[in-house]
Amino acid sequence: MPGISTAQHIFKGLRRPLFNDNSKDGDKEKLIYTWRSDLDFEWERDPKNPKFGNCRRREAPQGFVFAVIVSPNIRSKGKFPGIDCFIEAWAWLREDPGLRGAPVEWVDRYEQRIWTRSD
Amino acid sequence: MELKKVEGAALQQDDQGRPFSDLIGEFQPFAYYDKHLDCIRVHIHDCSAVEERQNRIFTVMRALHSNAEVTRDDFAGFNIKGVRYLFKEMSFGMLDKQACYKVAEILTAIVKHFPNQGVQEVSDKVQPILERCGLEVEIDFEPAVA
Repeated sequence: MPGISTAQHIFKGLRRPLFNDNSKDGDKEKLIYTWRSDLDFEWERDPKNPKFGNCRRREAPQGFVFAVIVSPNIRSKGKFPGIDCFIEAWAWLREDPGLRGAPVEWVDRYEQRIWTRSD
Repeated sequence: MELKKVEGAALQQDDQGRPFSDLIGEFQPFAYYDKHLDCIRVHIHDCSAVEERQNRIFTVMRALHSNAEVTRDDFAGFNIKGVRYLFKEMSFGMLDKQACYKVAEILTAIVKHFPNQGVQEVSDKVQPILERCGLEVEIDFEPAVA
């Protein structure tokens, strides 16, 4: 099932102070992959027994993009030599009306756009 | 934890042989500190959600779909961002030790220190929920760079 490999944009740097991985400049290192997705999934609990349930496939509403925040493996290469990046978080965000596949206010959210898929 | 796939069936047990169903309980609101993004994440409902940035401190989550528990656009949770910097600015909590805090108390401190409309609006919305749930969050900041 296509996911992050279908990203339409990659941004670099979060515009907010972030202490992370022993760095005061953790915000500058983050990569953000964004794209329009047709799909979403929710865990649907069995109302009679909430210990059980199913992963329910949902249609993604129009006007939203999926964003994944990734940390390049900079300071843990010794411990995890085969790992290039760590996926930190993901979220749905409203889509920017001016840039398809990018989240609204991306200029205020991220430091720079470093890659856009050429269609 | 590694999950074992049982042939001909969906994931049913973990690598200890415990049934997957034993690892899932009834959803309860919860809060945790995400040290990788230096934020406190508070989940009120178990649903797919859209994140809406309110200001430099708060992001609010709203339900993306209607389901048995929520209606689309219902308030589903929120994030408090830049926690280490916030704590330092507010002279709140301990930056060098692991500690447990009531989320409501953190929110009260934020409102007191940043008395603007955006902060007050988020606080008014979530404080009644937090008081009802009594949510706590454990924070263990990474050591600061010398």
